[in-house]
Amino acid sequence: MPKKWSEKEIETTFKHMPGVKDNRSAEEILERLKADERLQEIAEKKRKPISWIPVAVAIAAVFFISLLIPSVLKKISSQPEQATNFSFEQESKMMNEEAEIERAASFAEEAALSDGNNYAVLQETLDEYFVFQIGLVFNEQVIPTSFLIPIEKVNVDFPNGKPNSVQLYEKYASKIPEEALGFTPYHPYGGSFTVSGETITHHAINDSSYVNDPLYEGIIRETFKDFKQWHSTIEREEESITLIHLQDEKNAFYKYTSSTGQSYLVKETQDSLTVKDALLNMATPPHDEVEVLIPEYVHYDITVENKVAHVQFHEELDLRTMDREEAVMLIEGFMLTAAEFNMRVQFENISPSTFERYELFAPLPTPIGSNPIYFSFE
Amino acid sequence: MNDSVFHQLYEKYHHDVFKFLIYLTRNRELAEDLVHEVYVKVLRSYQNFKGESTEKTWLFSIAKNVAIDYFRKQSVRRKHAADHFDWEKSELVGEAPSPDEFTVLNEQMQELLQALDTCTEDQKFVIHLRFLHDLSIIETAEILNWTESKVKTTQHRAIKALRRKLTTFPVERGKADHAQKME
Repeated sequence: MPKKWSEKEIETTFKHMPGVKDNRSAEEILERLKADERLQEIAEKKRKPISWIPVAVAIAAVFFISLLIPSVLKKISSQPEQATNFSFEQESKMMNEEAEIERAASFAEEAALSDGNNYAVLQETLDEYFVFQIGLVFNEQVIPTSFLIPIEKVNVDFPNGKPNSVQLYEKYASKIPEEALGFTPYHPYGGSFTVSGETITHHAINDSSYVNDPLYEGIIRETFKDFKQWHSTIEREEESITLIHLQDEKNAFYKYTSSTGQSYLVKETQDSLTVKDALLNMATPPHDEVEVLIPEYVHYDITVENKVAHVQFHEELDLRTMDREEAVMLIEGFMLTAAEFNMRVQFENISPSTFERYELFAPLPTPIGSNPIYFSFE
Repeated sequence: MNDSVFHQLYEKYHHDVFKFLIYLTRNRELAEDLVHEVYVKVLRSYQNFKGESTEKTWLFSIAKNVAIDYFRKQSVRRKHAADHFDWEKSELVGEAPSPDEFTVLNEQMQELLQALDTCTEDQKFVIHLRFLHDLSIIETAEILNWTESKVKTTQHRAIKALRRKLTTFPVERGKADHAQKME
């Protein structure tokens, strides 16, 4: 049997790791530094007078480019079809033709499966399914998941009317095969829940370890979105130990790939105060466990008008040059991020005008959930 | 080059920075090379150091960047090596041996370091700075350019991940580690 490690023991063992000293003397290290050309350069630069020749060459080059750009732009605007493919052609210089053809073919094949994997749940889903949202965990990452349960099933389980998130949690959380689906088992939380107005109180059982888990807050936020406040109390202590404002955190979406190769859209805090901040933050990864949804070569601005966030791409973004999954994730990541602020998103300078289930020339619908899983809970 | 700046930094921080790099790389020669890179960067930019952070956290953040640079370059090389992998010469992509200091660590310490090897880059840095170097949350946040809250969360996740890895049977852990590396 392997040794049982406690968290304290892990910390203490690290703290007692022995020091490892550099056996070289300061003089040896200094000698090596003195021999390094990069440090000699500094000294030389300080002494060297400024040479005007490279400066003059640079000025001449800038002048030449400034003469050249208007004529290039004019040429592009007079050839609209070519201009559409301009950025793609530039990028594709790096690739060989075969790879391009293969990618285009694979895109076409995938795109034909218009009901393929999606990451956003749309309002229209509610015609047939009831959405049970819950924060699941994979390797310390909270995945905001939407279980789509057939309406007939929910009608049978809740004959008195539409259930709230607490009722859904109490009914279905214990039936989620978290491990079989590849997640870490977290649910259901022990103890009981009471609801008063827009506040849920979690009466945790004596073991409060999960309440102190840093993932607890993220999980709760993704699971009980229809309430405003969350209190946790420990049964024995009879005092509120956690207060969470369930609707005050708005985040940007990123891509998370599990070790099993499954991709999810996940939220990460990046101090997004406005929808504009959040949509722009999507281009920067908050840490190395998630990836951005926007290709490195794509740049954009955001303007907001009448509850619609306009994403203006600097150069036309042709989704057909992207992998199908990448394109869907980009569209839906923007939609989900805007939805955090109860806003819709509209793209500008994008083609084609229709992509799978989306009409890209108009404001896109506000998604009602992310990472759908069809599950009947039978 | 300003010798007095070097001597001053050497006296105050050399052994800490060296320990940081040798624990990250487990290779004495490599740690010596990386510490040289740290000094080159520090001495080239010392005149621009504005004192917005302490000298210590500034030095550690440079050491962290030097280590990240090295590991990223290695990772690109490994990917390239995997594309052209030659089974006859597989030793070419083998790991460098640990220096003597690490072979004399007790079994628990070795096990812990092996488990740490399989953690994410963020988790490794937090564990190194917080526990092996006993730096505060504020200092760690400054070095990694994170918020204090991110340091706390990552530290907690790292310890939990380590505990999980360590309590798994070695064979299973080996498989899980492999899967995680592939990720």
